[in-house]
Amino acid sequence: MNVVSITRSRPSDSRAETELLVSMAARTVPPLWPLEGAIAVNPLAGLEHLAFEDAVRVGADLFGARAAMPLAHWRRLVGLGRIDRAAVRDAAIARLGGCERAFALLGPDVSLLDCVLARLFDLPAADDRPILADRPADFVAKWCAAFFDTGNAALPMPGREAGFYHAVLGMLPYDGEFAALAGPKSAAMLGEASRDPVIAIAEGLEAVASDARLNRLRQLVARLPGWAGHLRWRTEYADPVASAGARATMADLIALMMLAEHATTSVTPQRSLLRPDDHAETAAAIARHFDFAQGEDYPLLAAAARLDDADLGLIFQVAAEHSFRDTIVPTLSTACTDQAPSPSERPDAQLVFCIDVRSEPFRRAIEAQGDYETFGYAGFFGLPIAVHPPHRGRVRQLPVLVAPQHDLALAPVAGAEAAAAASMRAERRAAGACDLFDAMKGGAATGFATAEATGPLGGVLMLTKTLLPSAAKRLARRWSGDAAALAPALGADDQGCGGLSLAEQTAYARALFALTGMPRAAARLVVLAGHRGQAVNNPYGSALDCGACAGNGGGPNARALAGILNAPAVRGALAADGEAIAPDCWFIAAEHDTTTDEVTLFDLQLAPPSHRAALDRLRADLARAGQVNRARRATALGRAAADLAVGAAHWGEVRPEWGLAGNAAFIVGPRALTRDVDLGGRAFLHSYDWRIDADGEALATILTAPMVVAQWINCQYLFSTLDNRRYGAGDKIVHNAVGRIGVLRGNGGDLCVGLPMQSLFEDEGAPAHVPQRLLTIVHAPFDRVAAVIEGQAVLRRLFGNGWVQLVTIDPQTGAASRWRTDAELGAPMAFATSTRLTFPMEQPS
Amino acid sequence: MDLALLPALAALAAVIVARASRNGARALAAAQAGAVLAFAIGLALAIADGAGWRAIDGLALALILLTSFVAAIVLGFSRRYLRADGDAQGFAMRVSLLIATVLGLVATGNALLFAGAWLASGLLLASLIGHVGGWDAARAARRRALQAFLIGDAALMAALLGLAAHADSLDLETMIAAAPALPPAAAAGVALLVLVAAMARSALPPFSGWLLGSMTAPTPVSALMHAGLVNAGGFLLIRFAPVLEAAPLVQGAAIAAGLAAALWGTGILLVRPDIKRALAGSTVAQMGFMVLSCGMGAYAAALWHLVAHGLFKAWLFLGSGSAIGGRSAPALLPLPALGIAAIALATLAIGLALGMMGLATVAVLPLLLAIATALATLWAVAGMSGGGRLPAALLVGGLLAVHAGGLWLTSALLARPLGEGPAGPLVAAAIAVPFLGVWAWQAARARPLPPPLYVRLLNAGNAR
Repeated sequence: MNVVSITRSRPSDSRAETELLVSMAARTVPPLWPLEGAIAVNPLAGLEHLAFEDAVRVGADLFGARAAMPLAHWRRLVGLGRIDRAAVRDAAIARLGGCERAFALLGPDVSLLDCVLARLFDLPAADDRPILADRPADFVAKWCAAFFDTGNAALPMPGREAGFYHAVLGMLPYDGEFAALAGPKSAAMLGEASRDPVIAIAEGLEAVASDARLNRLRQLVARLPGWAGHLRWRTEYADPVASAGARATMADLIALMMLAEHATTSVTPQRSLLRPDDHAETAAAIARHFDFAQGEDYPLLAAAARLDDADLGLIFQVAAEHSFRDTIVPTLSTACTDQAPSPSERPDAQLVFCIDVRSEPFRRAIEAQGDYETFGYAGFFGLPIAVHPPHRGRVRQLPVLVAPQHDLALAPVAGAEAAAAASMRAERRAAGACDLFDAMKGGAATGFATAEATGPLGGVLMLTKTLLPSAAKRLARRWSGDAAALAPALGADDQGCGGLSLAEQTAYARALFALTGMPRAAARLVVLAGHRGQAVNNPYGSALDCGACAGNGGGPNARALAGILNAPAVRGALAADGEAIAPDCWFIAAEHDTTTDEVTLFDLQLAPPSHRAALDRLRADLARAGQVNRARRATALGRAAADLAVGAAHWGEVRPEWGLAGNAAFIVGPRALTRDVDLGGRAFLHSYDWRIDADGEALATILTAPMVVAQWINCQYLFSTLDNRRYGAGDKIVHNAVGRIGVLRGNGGDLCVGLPMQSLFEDEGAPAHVPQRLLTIVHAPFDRVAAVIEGQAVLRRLFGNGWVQLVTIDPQTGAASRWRTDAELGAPMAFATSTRLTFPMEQPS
Repeated sequence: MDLALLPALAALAAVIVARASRNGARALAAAQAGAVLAFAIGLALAIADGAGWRAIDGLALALILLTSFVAAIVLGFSRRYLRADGDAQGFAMRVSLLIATVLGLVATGNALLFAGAWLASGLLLASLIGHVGGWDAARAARRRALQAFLIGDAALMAALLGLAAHADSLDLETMIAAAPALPPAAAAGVALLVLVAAMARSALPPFSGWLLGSMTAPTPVSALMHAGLVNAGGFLLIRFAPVLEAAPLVQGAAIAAGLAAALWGTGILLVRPDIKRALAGSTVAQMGFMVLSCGMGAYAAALWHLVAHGLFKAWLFLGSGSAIGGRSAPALLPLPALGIAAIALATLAIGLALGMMGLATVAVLPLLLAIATALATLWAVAGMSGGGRLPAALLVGGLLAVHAGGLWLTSALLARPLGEGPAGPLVAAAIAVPFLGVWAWQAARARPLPPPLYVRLLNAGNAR
């Protein structure tokens, strides 16, 4: 063996090493779900191993994003009274390291704190920098759009079956834009480019120091977070059918980015939006503001000037977080110890809603209508299912991190067979009409007469959709028939749907009671209410649907679980546990329309006649509760209550509802804790009874599944608001649907991620969502919560790195304890040493 | 006072009200009210015209009704769509002013007013393409539109200048009527200038880049642009028909340019993965067909195409937010090869027969393509599964009737529904061959596009 062969790694080694680097680099971006079932994700999910503050800075650098919301927005929130000015002051003191330093004087009557406050509130804020085009990334994005298209183009890209990298390489010799990008060397470059993407990447990394290679790949991935995220969804989370016949890997994408970047002769624009070190300028501005004498030396001035955008934004954010926490936690503590009048032995009905923040105000509204008890449970009702509508692909109805365990066919409901058949016929008719229209308008000989013949019809449709949107929607509904006549069938069918066995059904039934603490000796009526939003002609419509049902309505899951719980066999099995469901109890499935606040009750024809009167009363009360909640929401939207239904049907409406804007807390505990508190639609409420969860298993499930979903949502709203153009989807009015999977901005570029501006900002431009991290409040003994956290890496990461703040409320004493982050403890193993802290705390002293 | 200018004045008044409005929402409402008023005035003029008072020219009337109708809908849509726009008021004002210029230029008989309105409409359209601020892509798109308009507008101004000098008048009617008396070379020159102006506004290649790259415009602007503004080219060719007819060579050039655009735009529509650029490709194709019809002298057919396509495209653009999500399983059987051949051959046979019997006019091409479309549609409907056949056949029949009615209406509106083409009806019928040929290739789904063609179509409209 000679020396050379040792120092030079073999190709297979370098290949394996490169593949490993690629798979690590892929984690830079979170998966991006297609908008048909939009799922909230944390755009910085790849940085959750870092402390939140550090991740914001690293993310800004990596993605070319802002490190904080513009100061003007924060100032506006303070001006509007949505963030307490005093809280900002306290947060600034804390950031400066305490009172002693904060009140240190720079000059006569001017403290360090005054300087920082001047920067926060008075000094002119840096302007928004325009987003510059990234030519290599836009070039690759063009080919991503062509390759990943799922049916917008009638003629697909040729050669897709060869895989992404190969298919694009096959096109590049004819691509004038590549020639323009690369100049005269383009043909030579294409000739030299390796046909194997992994080898191409390895070659591209040869000139990079080995410890900088991963970073280099991460930077390439971060330049197309949208398409890279789509690719991750496609390879890691989608059904195989999504990528059948057109394989694509992250190596393909990175190799193309390398090729495009290598080809580009012009210099790539500076991507980091973190402002360069212009401390001197800032210091001068502060000095001018306070009329400091020129020429004198103020050593502390540098400290005030050194705070960067991220620091300033974090002061506001922490202020918002603390003032929210310091308002809500004492209230809940009090409610915990108060001997609240216990709810009646047998309420008129119990209603189980999704944990979604939009359920909270509705629950309060329905509770006010009568003797109703409500619960919060994940909106997929614990059923890991996918449903199969006739003539359409499989629809997942469960949290996206879980793989479907059962496939259920959507089949006619007993008693609605005729309506079901009519709706299926209507679906075929509509599909036929769409196919025909598409074929005719795209035909070289047929497109012109088609435009002429259908144009007047289009004119009439435009008129009705604009002037009479509700009537247009009703008419469309009448034509499409009653889709609710189809429901998930629990049995197996001959199309490959396995259904659910009795044992499985019983297990899912048990889980409802175990996780929510709902007693089995239930009311005569128990409503399982899923939810969905309503929007027309809105690419982001599914973002208003149930996140726990993969961006779909929760109705099918509610109907399946209601069917399970009404089945005599399941009831028999539950009775064998020793605690039976009351024999006169009937479970009824429902769907809360969060846009119009109407609640649809399903399968009423199956309910026993003895329950009809109670159902009628419930229906009337739900309608009244809807009215109350609608009025409340209309105020928040700045519109008339009646306009909400119009907006839900109008094809030009860009904000049918506020969605989950404002989300701030995740509360795990019994309803008694929150019943008398108006949480303003800002809290996810998960019902939980610590007394029946001795081993903490239910709590572990709640914190690692629904809470993680809530954290994704919270981070999506936070970052989409913080930098709407980079972490969010920007302005809806220039959105351009691409490939039937997402939207582009204008002519091209990356696939949009996050939420659009209209979902987060008010008409006048003020943020409707205050960027703040999720506050999780658990009603359980601290030690039990700590034990759960110790056993779960994801929880240690989220709480320890400050992505989620945790407060526990002791059920016996009502004492609140806060989980400290690793940074506060100065120890990486915070979970082991975390101790109790009683509220209130962190008073600057 | 020319009554035909009243709709333009209504839109102009809306600009003033929008400017005085307290906020964007009110400004948009005012702009919409202006468009509704303009449409109402247009209707009144139509009724007056029908009752025998010659209040307005038929071509102007058709365009006034189309533009104000689409504008009223687009502005109604915008009242919700632009609710969070920082400059909704400016948007309302610019859109109203743009509508006023279009309504003015189609109605006026004065060459100066016409030229001014034409130039202003281009500037306003470009500024709306760049409506979203702080975005270099929007600025670039605006610049591209201005560049294309600069060429086209310069050509039009030169043509107007030549015609005015020749006729020694600023009255458009007089200027156009005097065109046939121009010396042949001058006539060809002026006609070519008019054609270039029309091609630039209607986004025919080589000018299609500005339209294909205009997706930085808010969706309602795209709807208005594709339904109203691009029609300016067709309007120009119909209005200046005598100028073109005085130069048969230029008519031939219009036919060639239109045919190329019709096929090229269809190709773009077929390959684009994004909905808006695909629709823009379709507009290029449709505008090509319109220019082609004008070149052949089929003015009534061109006018009906312009109106119906305007409604069609505004509808599709405003609804472009729905192009998300998987589709249902196919409900339509593909046409068999035999059916494709039968439809294509039957269409050509009908064309030949009409020509031999002397029944064919210069408008035979739109007729033949309508026949091919009807045959293909009926074939597809007959093969449809389920019970939808009868309603589908009725719907198709209804649409055909509306189509025929529209053609009849535009024929009645125009003083000269049929002009003189550069070639006989048989040649006109022969132009159906390339359309049918490409369609047959498409319908047979034989093989993918050759890569060089695919890449060119995909890149069409990208900024250099």
